Amino acid sequence: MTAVAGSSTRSSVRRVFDVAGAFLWMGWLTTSAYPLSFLMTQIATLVPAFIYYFVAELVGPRVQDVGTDYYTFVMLGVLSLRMLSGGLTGLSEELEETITEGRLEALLVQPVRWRLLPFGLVQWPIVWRLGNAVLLILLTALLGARYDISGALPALLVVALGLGASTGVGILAAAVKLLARRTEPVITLYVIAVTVLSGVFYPVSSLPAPVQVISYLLPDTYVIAALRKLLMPGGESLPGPSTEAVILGLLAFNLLIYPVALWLFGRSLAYGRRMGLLGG
Amino acid sequence: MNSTTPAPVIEVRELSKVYLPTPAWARVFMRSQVTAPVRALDDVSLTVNRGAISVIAGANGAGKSTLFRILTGLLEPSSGLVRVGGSDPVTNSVEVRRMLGYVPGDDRSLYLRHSCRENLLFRTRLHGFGPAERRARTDEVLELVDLGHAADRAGFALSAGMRARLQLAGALLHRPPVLVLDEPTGAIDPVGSYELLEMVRRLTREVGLTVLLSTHRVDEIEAFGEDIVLLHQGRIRYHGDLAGLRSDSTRRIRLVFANMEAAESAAERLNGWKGAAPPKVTGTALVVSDAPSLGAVLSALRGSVSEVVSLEEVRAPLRQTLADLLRDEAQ
Repeated sequence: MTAVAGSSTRSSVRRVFDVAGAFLWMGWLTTSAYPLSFLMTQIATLVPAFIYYFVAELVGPRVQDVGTDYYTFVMLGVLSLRMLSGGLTGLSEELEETITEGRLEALLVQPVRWRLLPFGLVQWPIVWRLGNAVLLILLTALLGARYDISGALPALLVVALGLGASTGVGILAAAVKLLARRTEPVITLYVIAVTVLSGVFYPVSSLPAPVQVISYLLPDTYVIAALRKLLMPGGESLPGPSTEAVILGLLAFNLLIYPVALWLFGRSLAYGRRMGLLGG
Repeated sequence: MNSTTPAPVIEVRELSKVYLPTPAWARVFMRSQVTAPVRALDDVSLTVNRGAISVIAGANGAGKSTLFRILTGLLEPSSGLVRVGGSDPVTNSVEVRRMLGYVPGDDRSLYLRHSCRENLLFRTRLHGFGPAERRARTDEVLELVDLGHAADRAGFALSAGMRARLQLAGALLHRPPVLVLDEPTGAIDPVGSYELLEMVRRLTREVGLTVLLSTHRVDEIEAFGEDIVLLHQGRIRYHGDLAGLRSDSTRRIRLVFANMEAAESAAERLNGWKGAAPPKVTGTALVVSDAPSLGAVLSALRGSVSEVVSLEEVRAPLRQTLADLLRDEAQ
């Protein structure tokens, strides 16, 4: 039989990078194919920097538990939300596009382990949002937000763990999507919970105590709290868990979510394969 | 296995697939029209040997795509055995997909905004080619399908035939021993279709591929007449070569006589002969349907044979043969 080229000769770890690299490259190609759209989307995502600048002017330093600077406080919340959405809604959007444009079947017949596909599909949304977050940091710094860059390295670790956690939740949603063709049943609930309860716009401490319990079930709450402690001048005095506790908590969440998410994704694929839901 | 026995590359035995109704819990997510089991394949057995081109023919809904989805590991059979290169597409899916090059029936899997080369480079990355190999292999397969000149042309600027060739190039990238084409000429004009199929035939010869091609087009069944599997309502209605398929068809014999009187006299002799339908006379020509053989007709004519100016055996068009076969099955 003719020698098959490519994948059979690469190690499993390299295959992960191969698949991730393929989707990252295609994501860039597709985005850059529409330069004006690319530019306008970037500009649109910078708008919150201006909105919250004026909100912060209005609020002033009168609220509790936001440190001395509400603008930096809220923008760190918005930045976290933006970055973590890469793993959650980004994966969902990429999978939806793959299904609606009819590429799922062709993708599934490639000699790639199906469980690697979510990790590939999520690459570009994450990179895109991280790049956008960097621009947002620069713009808000120009508008008066104050960041303490001495906490940048542990902040990067927190972001990485947070992205891992949100991607895990994204894979759970992808498992639903493969069968239901929609992820709204999972995503909508999660996004509402994160937006309202994770302390993006106001401190979690301002929520009723029973609701705070739910807040602390969301990985986003920990990421936001840790970034404020690490990157806001005087942020260490804000209420919430310590950075060490956040890192350990996120690590535990990652260790818990991936086996569950990948198992469910595998079950979903097996069910779809039995019922004939994987084509088209 | 001895050296004279061809090695089966694709082996399907007693394969059945029944689509089950969507369970009630799943209908919370998505409404379903499937409320009763649907039998898509029923006791299908076939073997495709190394280097062969097999055509799976049948109308829409015959079960062709279900069979292909099972072969590519996208669908689990309800019962039966399937092996591709000796591997089970369900339990050893990745290995099977390494052996298969799949050409879908539409161009939706292409990134039409991007060039031919970019489409293929993406796949080389997915396949795990090293950086040095990617470009070389991409250019190689583009040349193989005569798209070297259009390497940097965007997908949307290609004709339907060129897009199908690009799909073919994508399927060949990882040098699979088996090529599976699911109605590859659906949207292509006759010339483009002919070129694509000739290319598949050439590649089969040059690269040593085993090919499984599904179609509902008569010209493709005729073009690849060596091994035809005719599926109808999930069952194999015919498996063999084109000549065998044609032998099932109604045989008609057309005789031209020296004059009208001789034709009419011959028609009288043959009227009610061996249960055949009454012969039709048009001028000096006479057409006998359902005749067992040419010799039998000539023998029945006896004295009128000397008046025969010309004769020919007229085969029903393949389209009609297929329709007759499937009508018999339905009855």
